[in-house]
Amino acid sequence: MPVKRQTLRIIRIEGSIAAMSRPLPSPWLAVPLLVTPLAAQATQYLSIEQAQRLFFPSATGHTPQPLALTAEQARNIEKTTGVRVVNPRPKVWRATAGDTLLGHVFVDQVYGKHEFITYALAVTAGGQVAGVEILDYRETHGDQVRQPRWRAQFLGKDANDAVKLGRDIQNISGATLSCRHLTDGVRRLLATHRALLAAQP
Amino acid sequence: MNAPLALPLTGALHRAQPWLGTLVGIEASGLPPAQLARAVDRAFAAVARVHDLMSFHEPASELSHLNRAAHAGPVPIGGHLRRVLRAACRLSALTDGRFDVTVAPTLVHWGYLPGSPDNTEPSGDWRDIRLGNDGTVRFARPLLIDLGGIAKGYAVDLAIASLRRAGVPQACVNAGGDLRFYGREPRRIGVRDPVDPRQIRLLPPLLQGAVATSCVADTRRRHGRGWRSPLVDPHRGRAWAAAGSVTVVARSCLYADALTKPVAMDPAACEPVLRRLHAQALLLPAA
Repeated sequence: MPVKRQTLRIIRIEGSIAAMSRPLPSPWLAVPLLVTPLAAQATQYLSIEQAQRLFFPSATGHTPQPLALTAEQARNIEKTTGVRVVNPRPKVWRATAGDTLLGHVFVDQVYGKHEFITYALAVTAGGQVAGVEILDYRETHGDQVRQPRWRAQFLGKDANDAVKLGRDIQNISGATLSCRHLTDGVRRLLATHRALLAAQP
Repeated sequence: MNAPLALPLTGALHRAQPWLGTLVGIEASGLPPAQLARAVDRAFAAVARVHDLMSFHEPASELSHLNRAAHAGPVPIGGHLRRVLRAACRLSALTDGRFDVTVAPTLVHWGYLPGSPDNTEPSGDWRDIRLGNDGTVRFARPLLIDLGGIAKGYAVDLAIASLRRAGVPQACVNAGGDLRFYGREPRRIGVRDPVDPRQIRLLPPLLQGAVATSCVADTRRRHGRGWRSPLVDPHRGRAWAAAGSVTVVARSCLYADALTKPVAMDPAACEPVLRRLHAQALLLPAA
């Protein structure tokens, strides 16, 4: 039987014991069953506190720092980065060890065609990026992500409030998502840092 | 004494960072929290290394240097880039050129990659990549290489290897849907349905393996009467724009990632390659 001969030849080339112990599977997977529709997917990665500790493990304090961009500052940031400033009051924490400023942690949201991402950006006292961590990620294939009301329901909330993936599905293949909006967001926050925080002692 | 990271004491950690133009998620469990945090840090460092070396977009990457200089003479390259190029050439040979990392000029021309379209005349193909035994590489003709179809898979493999070395008993690394996992409990990976992205289809439970999916419907654009997509058929220089999806299950994410492209173009011709690499494919039609 030609199929069988080919199987033997492959085993010899690969020399794999695992392959010898069971028949080589067909290279084609049968089309699996369809599962119930999945309207939205949500993954929570880190809390703000966990991200702060990851970025600045030696920090002894993280204090919120109220910031407000003036209309002119926002326009300048938009001009230099090419990214729209939607929220003129970014959420920022100062990370300090005793009296020394270690850096700042920003928490911000961006959204694309189907995804809504909350992320944290750490900037050192010298203005360098110390890290980017995704805090939570929500995906929808309705048009909800375009509606401010849909996005607003997640602000400051825990991911547990959202629709979750079924327990037995840990990951989805083929969810190719771009991080373009995220890199735009990081650029915008770095410009914000330069405008409002870099000159501070 | 350093205070341990106060992460959840269940011994599970799930983090994600932007790398390689997508989100890379790492999920690990089964070790004390502090050890797990260090292991995940190192796994992300491995992904970052691949990003720094193999980015087409960064002018300072090793790949960009290669694209500028390897036509003029042999360029010494590091072990990571060498391994990826060797695997890419092996796959090109096995698939009769259906997988080809030198289609970048077409992608630049179509605006999927940065660069000036004027000096992107495609002149050679994968056979012009000459890998020397002395750790150098040379292009026989001017080439532009883009590793967008294989580097993500390699990065996932490196991260998985790093987690295994650190003794993590169960982990999954997912780079924008190209993923690899291992552990004590079997996992069911979901594959998005190309007809309706709100539906997913479940693969049979697996203890370990790599899964990658290619779906050009997400990235294709109308151009005149036809389509353009980042999936270029190297034989004809045309875009592959069929709306279905191809999923490959393989032992390594590098091969899973890379195999989705030639299988999408010509499934029947790739059957021996799939057998040879112990991979399986799932074709989901558009309608």
